[in-house]
Amino acid sequence: MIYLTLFWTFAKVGLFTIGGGYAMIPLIQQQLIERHGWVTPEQFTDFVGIAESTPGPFAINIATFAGIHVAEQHGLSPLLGSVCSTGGVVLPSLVIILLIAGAFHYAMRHWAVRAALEGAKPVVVGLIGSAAFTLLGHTLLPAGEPFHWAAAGFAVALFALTHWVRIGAVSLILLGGALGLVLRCFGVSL
Amino acid sequence: MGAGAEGQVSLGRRLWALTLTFGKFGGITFGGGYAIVALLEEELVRKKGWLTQDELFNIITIGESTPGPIAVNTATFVGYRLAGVLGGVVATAALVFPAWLVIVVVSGFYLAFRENTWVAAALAGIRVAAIVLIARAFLRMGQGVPRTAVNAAACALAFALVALLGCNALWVVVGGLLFGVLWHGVLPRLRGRRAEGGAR
Repeated sequence: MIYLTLFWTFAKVGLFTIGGGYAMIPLIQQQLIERHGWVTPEQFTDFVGIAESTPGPFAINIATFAGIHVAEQHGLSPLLGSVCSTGGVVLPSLVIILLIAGAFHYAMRHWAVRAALEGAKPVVVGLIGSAAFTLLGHTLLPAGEPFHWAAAGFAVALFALTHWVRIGAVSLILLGGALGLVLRCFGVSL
Repeated sequence: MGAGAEGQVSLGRRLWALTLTFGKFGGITFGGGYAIVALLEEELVRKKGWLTQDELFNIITIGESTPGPIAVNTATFVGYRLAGVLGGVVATAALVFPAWLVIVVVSGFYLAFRENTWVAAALAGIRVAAIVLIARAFLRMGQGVPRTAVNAAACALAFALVALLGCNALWVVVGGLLFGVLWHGVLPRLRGRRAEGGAR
């Protein structure tokens, strides 16, 4: 049963990766390429590329893509295959978080839990900062390319704009995409 | 989260609001999980007032130290806080649906999609906007932490470990939790006991 295998494979991926979607890449790679032989390393690179350039959480994108691919390979319904793989990758964290969220209210009564969460606060801020820093590094200094002055200028301009004008998160994302297109019309690649 | 507001709004309405909000997030978050943290901060803490900043801190900490993608973890947690188990399931499904749909649509011609210069141009703009959003969330969340030397050191250490040394975020968060138990929990209690003993 390919559907069950898909579901189980991605449930394992969902259960054993902690710390964000990108942490999943090695595990998915190992399962799909080495264990099951469903995809070639070249195809997997394409999966990662497309998951990065489509909206939505990376883990969901790549699970859906793999589900479609594997089901097609076996002559089965790609839609059902993608539902199995995506459902599999989501289910463990859904169940675990629901259990934790249910117990959270009671756990917060204990001083040690409150103290631990208080201590994690500055760490979380540091993590958010490092996410911005790492993404910025990838964007401004892509491997093997010179410094992207256009992207740096665009980032500074957008940041300044949000400082002076009240602009919502969703609008900012859409504005970024629109300005990317406009700049491309003038021959500027970000 | 306003407990009073929660009691007044019907379950159906809360579920609908969760569907719209997380469906939107699922349709516009790109790349890593921290884009959704920025969206939650903007939309749910600042605009809608569904969460307090403290709750957002707790949700990120839990999302980062439990299995699964952080965007999914935060959606489930926020959904549960606002509308129970059903809310958790609905928010998660709403987050996943656009991402699933896009891949289903694009999978037939993904190479053409990827190599299209207009798609690439829009994506490059969106990527920079997402970085600006995350940087803004960093500054705002930073203001929510008490300004003490030890907090500044913990923040700088976490940043250096992940951004410069490439450590797994999980272990850094676990380190932060242990630091919290010792610094904010055990230490004040030891000091309190010593002060009591000294007074006697």
